[in-house]
Amino acid sequence: MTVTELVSYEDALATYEPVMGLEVHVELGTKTKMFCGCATELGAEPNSQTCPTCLGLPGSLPVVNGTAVESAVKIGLALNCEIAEWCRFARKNYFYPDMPKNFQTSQYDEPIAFNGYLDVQLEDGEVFRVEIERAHMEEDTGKSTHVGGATGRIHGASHSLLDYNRAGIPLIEIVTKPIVGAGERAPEVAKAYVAELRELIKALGVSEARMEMGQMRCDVNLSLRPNGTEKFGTRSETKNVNSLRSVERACRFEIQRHAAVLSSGGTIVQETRHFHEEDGSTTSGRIKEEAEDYRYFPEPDLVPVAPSREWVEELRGTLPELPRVRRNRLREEWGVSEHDMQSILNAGAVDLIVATIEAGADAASARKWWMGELSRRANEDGVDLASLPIAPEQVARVCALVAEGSLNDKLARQVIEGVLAGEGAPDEVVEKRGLKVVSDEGALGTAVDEAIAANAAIADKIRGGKVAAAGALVGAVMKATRGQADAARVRELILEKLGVEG
Amino acid sequence: MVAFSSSLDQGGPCARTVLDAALLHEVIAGHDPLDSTSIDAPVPPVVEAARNGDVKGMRVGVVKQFRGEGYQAGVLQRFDESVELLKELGAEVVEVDCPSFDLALAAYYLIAPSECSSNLARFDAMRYGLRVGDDGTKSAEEVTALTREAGFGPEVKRRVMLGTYALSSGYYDAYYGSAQKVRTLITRDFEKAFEQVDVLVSPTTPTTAFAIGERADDPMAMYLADLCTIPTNLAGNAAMSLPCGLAPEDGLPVGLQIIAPAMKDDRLYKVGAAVEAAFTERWGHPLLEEAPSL
Repeated sequence: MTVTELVSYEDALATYEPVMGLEVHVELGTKTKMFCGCATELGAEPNSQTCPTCLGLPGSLPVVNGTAVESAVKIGLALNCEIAEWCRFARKNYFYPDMPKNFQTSQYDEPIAFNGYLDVQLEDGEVFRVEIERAHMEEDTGKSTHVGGATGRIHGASHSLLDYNRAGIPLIEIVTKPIVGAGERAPEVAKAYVAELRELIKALGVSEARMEMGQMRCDVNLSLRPNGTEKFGTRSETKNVNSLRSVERACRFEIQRHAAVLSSGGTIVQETRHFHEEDGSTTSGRIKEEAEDYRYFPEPDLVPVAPSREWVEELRGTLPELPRVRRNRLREEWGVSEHDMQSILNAGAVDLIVATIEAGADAASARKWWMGELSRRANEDGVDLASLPIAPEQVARVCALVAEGSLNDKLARQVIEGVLAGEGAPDEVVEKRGLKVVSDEGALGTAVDEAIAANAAIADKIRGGKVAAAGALVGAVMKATRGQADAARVRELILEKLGVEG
Repeated sequence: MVAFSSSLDQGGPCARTVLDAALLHEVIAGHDPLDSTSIDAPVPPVVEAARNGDVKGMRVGVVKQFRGEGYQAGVLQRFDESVELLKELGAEVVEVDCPSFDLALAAYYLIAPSECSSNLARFDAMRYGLRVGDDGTKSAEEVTALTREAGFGPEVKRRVMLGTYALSSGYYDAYYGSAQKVRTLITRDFEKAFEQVDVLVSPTTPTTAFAIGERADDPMAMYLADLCTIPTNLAGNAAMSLPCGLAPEDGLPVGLQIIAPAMKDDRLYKVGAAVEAAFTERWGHPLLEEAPSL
C-alpha cells in the first residue's frame, strides 16, 4: 500500500468511525530544570546549561522543582482533573545517547492529575468534550543532531552531536481518553483540542506553549472501526505533529490511509509514523512488534509528591477564567460573530484588543485597528501582532483622538504609521507631523467655497438634486487641506452652502 | 557516592572506636538539600551517647530468626557471650519474633539488582569513563555493548541481568512488586519489635569472613553473608557493627550488630560504647590490637 492509494475522506467516513487519542507534551516555562538548578533558556550555547544532575553523572541526585509541581497541579485543575493526594515519579528505562541516565524520570501508574476533561469549541460554535486520562510530570531529553547524512536523519550520518541543555527541562504530558463520536469532524476536534489546550496553558502562565519552538508537541494516535461497532481498531501513532494545521492534516491523512488499508482487506500495523509538513502525509517509523518494555519502577531517588488539599484549593482559587469561557464572554461583549472571533483568536489579537479597551477605547475601534491596519502591517513584516512596536495604550489614544474629532481615519492611520516608525507616542506624532483635523470653521468654509468655485459643473449637479456628487467636492476639500479636515463636516458644509438637504 | 541500589544505598562512618565513629557520624549526618531522600531533622546526640556508654535498664531484643541453620558455631558462641555481657551490664534481654525476616534475603536480591540495572545504565561510554571499540565503524549501541562487556565484572553483570529480568513487563508484580511488599512486612516486624525493646542485637554475619573469591562461583553462599544486615537495610533503621571477639574455630573476628529505630542512632552509640568498654576491660586491650596476628 503506497501513500498514493488513499480512499477519499468522504468514502472513509461512510464506512468507518475514527477513534483518536492525543498525547501532548508541554515544556514548562520554569526558570530552572525539573530536577536541578540549571537554567532553561532557549538558544543558549550547546551544553552551557548543564550540571552533574542533568548530565546524569555518577553520584548526582535529583531534587524536584516545586514550581513545576505547582504548574502541573494548575494544569490538572484547569483540565478538571482529580489531583493525586500522593504520587511518585517512576523511571522509564531505555537506552538512547540523548538520555543522560538512560532512564527518563517520569510518572507511570501514579500521575499527579487524572480523570478530567476539556471542552473545546469548533469553528461553528459547537462544543465537544474531550476526556482527559491523565497529566503527568517528566523531564525532557537532550537533543541529537546527526551530521553527515543527507536528511539530518541518523541513517547515513557520520557522527552525532549531543546538546544536553534541554535534558531535564520539565515536561507535562497530557493524555486524552479515546476520543469517540467526533465522526467526520475528528480532525477538526483534534485541532481544536490542541488549540484550546495551548490557550489554556498560556492563560495559566505555565508555558508560552509555542509549538514552532517545540514547547508544545503532539502525538496523534488514530484508529478506525467499522461504523456501528464497538471494538477499537489497531492504532497508528504519528509522532511530533507540531502545528495546529498539521494535527488536523495528520488525522485526516491517517483516516484516509487506514480506510484504504482496511477496505482492501489489509490490516493496520501498530507502529509509530512520521508526519511530513510538505505534503501532509505520514510514513512508517519503527514498528512496535512488541510493546517496548520500559521496565518502569518507582524512582527511589525522589520522595513522593503529596500536594496538600489546602494547597490544591489555594491553587484552584488562582486559576484564571478558562480561555473558551473568556472568549465567549468577550465575543458577546464585543458583539462579533463566531467566525470573526476565530479570526481574532488566530491573529493573536484577543489580549491586545482587551488591553486596548481597558485603556479606554471602544470595542469596535480597538478591534478595527488591530484586525485591520495593524494585522496588515504584522503580516507584511512577518511578525506577531504582539511584537509590533505599538502598545495597546497607544492604539487606545489614537482611538480617543478620533472619537474627539481631532483625527479622522486617514490621519489616524498616519499616526499609527508614525508610532510604528518609532516617531514617538501618538500625541508626539500628531505634533511632529502636524496632523490635526482642520476644525476651524472659517478655514474650512474658505476651502469649501474654493472647491465649489473650481468645480461649478459638479456644484450645479448637486444643486439639481444629485447629492451623491458631493463626494467629488469632499475629495477636493480633503485634498486642499491635505486630509486634515473632518470629511463628514466638509460634506455638511458643502450641502449647506449649496442649499441642499443631506 | 555512586548509586548502586538507590533505596538501599546508605553512607555511614567506619572507625577504630565507637567514639571516633560518633565524631565522624556527627560531621557527615544531616539533611542534604541536594538529596531529597535525606531526612530533614536534627542529628541525634551521638557523640554525647558515645561518651556515656550505658545499658542499665535498657530493654534489648534478640531476634529469634537470627540463628539456626547456616550460622557458624563460633559466631553464635561470641554472640551469646555478648548477650550475657549486656545482662551483666544491667540490660534486660528478651526474645522477639520477626517472622518476615526469613523473606528478607529474597526481597533484597530482587530490589538491589533491579535498581542496580537502572543505575548502572548510565555507564554507556557516551559521556565519560571507559569506551571500548569506538573505531569509527560501530554504532553507538555497539560501542555501549562492548564497553559494558569489558567494564563490568561478572557479579555486576549478573545483577544487571537479574534486575532487568525482574523489572520486565509481566514479571514486575511477581518480583519487584512482591519484594516491596515484603519490605513493608519487614518494616512492620521492626515496628512491633521496637514497641517491646529499645534496641535489637544479632551477629553481624552468620559466618566469619570468607576468603576473597572463595564464593565467586556460588553466589547464593555469598549472598547469605548478608542475612543479618539486610532486614535493617530494607527497613531503613539505624544499625552498628562492632567486634565481639574471635571465632574459636578460625580465629577470625565476629561482629555484634546493634539495631535501633530510624533517628535513634544515639542508642547505638550508648550500647556500643558500653559493650566496647566492657570487652576492652575483659580482653585487656581493644580487639584491634590482635589484628597483626590475624
